Amino acid sequence: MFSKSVKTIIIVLFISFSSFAQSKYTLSGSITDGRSNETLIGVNLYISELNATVSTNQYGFYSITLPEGKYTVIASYLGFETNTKNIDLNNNLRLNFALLSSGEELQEVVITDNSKKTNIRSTEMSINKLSISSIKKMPVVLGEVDVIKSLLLLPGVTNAGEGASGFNVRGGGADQNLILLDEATIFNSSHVFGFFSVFNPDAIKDLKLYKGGIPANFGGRAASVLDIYQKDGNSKSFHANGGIGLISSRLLLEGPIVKDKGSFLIGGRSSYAHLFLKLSEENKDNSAYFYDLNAKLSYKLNPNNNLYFSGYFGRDVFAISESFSNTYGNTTLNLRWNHLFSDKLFSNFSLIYSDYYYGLDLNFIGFKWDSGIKNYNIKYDFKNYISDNFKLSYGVNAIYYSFNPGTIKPSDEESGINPDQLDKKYAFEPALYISAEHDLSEKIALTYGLRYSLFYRLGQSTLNLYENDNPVIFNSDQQIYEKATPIGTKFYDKNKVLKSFDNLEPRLAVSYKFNDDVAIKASYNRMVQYLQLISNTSSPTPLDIWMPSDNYIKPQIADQVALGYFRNFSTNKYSLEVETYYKKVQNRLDYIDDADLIANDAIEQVILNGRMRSYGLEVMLRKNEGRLNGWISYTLSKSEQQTPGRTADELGINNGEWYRSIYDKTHNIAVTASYQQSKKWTYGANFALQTGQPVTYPNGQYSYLGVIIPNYGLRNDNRLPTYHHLDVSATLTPTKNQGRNWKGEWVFSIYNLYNRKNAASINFSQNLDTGANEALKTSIFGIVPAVSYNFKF
Amino acid sequence: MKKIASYIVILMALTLSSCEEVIDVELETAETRLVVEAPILWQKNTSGRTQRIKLSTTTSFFNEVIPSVSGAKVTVANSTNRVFNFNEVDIPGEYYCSNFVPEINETYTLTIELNGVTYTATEKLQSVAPIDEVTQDDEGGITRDEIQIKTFFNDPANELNFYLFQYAYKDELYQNLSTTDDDFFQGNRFFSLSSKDDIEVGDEVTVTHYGISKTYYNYLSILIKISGGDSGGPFQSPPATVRGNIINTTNKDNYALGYFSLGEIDSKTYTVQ
Repeated sequence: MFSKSVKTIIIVLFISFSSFAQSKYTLSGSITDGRSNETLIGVNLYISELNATVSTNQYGFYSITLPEGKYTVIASYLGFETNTKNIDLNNNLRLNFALLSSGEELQEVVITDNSKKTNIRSTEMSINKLSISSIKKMPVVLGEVDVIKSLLLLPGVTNAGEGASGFNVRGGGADQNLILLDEATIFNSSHVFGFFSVFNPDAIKDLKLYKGGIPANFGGRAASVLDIYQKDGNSKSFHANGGIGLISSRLLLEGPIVKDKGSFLIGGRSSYAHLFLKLSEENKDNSAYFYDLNAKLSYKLNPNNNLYFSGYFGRDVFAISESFSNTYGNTTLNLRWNHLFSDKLFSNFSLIYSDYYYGLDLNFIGFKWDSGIKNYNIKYDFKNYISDNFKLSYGVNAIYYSFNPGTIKPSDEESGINPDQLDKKYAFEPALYISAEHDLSEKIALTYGLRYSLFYRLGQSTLNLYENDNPVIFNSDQQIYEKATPIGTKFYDKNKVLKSFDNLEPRLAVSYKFNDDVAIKASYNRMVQYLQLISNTSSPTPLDIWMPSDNYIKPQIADQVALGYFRNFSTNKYSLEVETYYKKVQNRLDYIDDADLIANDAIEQVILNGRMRSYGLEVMLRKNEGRLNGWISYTLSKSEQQTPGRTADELGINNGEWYRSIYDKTHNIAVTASYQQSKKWTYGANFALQTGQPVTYPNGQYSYLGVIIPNYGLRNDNRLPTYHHLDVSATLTPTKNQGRNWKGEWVFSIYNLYNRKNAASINFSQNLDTGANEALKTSIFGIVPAVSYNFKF
Repeated sequence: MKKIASYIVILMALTLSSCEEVIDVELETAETRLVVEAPILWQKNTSGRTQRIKLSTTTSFFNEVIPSVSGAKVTVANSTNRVFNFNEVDIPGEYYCSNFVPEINETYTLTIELNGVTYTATEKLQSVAPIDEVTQDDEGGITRDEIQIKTFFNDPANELNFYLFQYAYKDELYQNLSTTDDDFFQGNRFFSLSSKDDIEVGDEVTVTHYGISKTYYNYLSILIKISGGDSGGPFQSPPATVRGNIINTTNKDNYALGYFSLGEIDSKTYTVQ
């Protein structure tokens, strides 16, 4: 199969190469923000004579090869004035654009959001881009601008409710999302168990969520890719911005190291709610806080070489007197080198390190607990702008992982706990890919690619051996799954391969343009996920551990097809996107009833390999222009899983039938709007409604050892009540800002305006005072007003 | 180790500005099942002759009465086929035996005949390490403001042991049940603990340490977790029916709930000072 696909690609390449015989020249360059030299991602460049477009890549670079001639080149980007240049292309030409931001100086503010216009020509579908400026205008709980929470307003994206971490894309688990910050993997995207996200909005330039049609340069997760880029820093002049909120404050500094060549950016954010804890007698010994730090250095060596060095460090800390403390967070570091081999060949080389640490100190029981995951990634990507209708991307990368499922240390000599080290695990994941963007005709565009991924589970490690290689046995008398007892172990030396996998991951997307306003698109992608998050809760907890695929845990393989209809109305004032998808995932882990996952050194004894499927319809109607803009999105979907018995005698999970996954949300409606009343006041509103979380309610009770035991039926057969809330915000930009260096704004917001007590959980138990059984609903946020102040100079 | 999860939940409960209210929920009721509560308990330094087995059924969740089951024939036999009869005396659903002979590591088989259906279960009698000291700490619990009782014992070395710890507070429905294996304190002096903020000097707490089998340990661990009753929070795992070791030999599908267990116990009543 591999050789056949390669042959096809070569043939297609050959056809494309042979098609440019006449004299052609390459127009290339970079597009930046004229005030800061910050490179701009996804700027559309339009060559009006040819009706051709090209957009900048994630480093602000573009390249297009055109026949000799005179052209009008128009660069347009959200929030920036459109820049038009006339060129005479009779040689290869380097043409840079420095765009000036609009808005602030204009008397009449009319937002024209070009990037939001549904791109009719490109094959891109199932992709949502959010600008950080629009994220900042959305009302949020406690006034904390939150990148992850803003994603929940997009079609096909949900989460487990207030205070829950992560997000679910098209019925997938939070562990199936690849979250990249400057290309480094972030393993846990939340602070305070999910109340806030780890991304400091001031440090972020751009983000893109791929829900389907995922390009071949991405791999390693089954459901989606969230690609986030940090700002480079201003290389023209020194600036600062920040904000003061109820929960946290933040400050970001940026400026030139060498004017127009090198820049730095350093941003910090810290919560201080724990300071209030100190004020109350009851909580004076307790603390709960988070902080994070973003840093970046960028340096332009010459027009063909750029260097970037960036990092992130974040921690959450909880402590309850001296008896309990808990620390966790991510660290990333990366070095990138952009190099232009020619006007047509762009390359980026990256060295990336990232880790996730989780530590627990249970002094009152007498032990400390450390766990984490580290990874080292080396990556080389190329983009070859071969002609105006053919671009080729290819690259290689290799990741080395080191997992520490847990180190246990007694906290002092008197502790009765024995030190222990759960078996560390190592893995190596190389991959290579090639992908082509190919415009077949005026109407038809194709993107096709192939990723070849490999995975090696490496020693040093001790593998448990089981009778018939079966770590989970079915007890047919009791009709339950039980842990098998290992019959022996096998030791593998350092770097010896315990198990290896390899997979071909084809990716295909096609678009057909009916006219300048209407297109239909279709895509297929296969994604393979070699790392599994061991978690059986509906949203991940910080202490969940990641496990590599091995002799007992198979990699998840996801296949997704999507079909979409895209239309712009009223000269791009409105756009409509309708998509439908079907996704199936092989080898989705399922857990036997009451699997204990914490500090479990033999996870294989409590898991079964099942499968998952999800399908749905997403509709998004957007208003792109004017004082009032925003969108309405609706998703109708289903997400199910099945873990049948492995033999005819076995029951499987939930009698082996398809059952609702915890991510199954039938309806999901989101409305977000912002209205600019004047230069002084901007208003924002969000409304979100989703079908209640699938849960399992008791279908009876009995008494045992004097305790009331609720009896449960099939998994996820019930649902929590429908979840909805309406939030509003108002942003005041004082008019005295004009002409001043110091620019401030006040953001007033009310989360959950009508004080809906959304259920986070319903607890069925005996009331120990009255003796009667009751259902107790826990809700997290009622109405939450907040105010924050943002500034820049 | 399972405790860690519950500490995390406690921690979050403290952190969240959450609010709780009792609500009405309509629940379906599954068909009724027999529930067998058959713990054979042998207090150290006693004969262990008197034993009790309770039979009841499941009922709808909000029902205030747990129905008892009368008229069953209940027997326990040891490995030499000596049969001990359990008879319903005064209280419906409670079956007593007064001549039971407990023996550590002996295998026993329970047989229940009810309305022409036979249920059986087989288990070994487990030993338990004796309690050697009970201590009190007035700055206990995670928040350091509760009265904490710690009960020490010496875990036997070179063997896997499983424990159930019970703290019963006099005149209260509340009891603290927890289970553990000795993975992390193999062969060491270790302790069980319970803390509570609303107890006073003079209150009585009865601490019982049960020696339990590995399978009973698995069963109880789930049962204790489920009795807390959490359902569907972001950090909850899906609860499930907890299947015990009682087998319906007449019709496997119509299974009974509950457990037949045998074990030594050591119990101390402590008065808070």
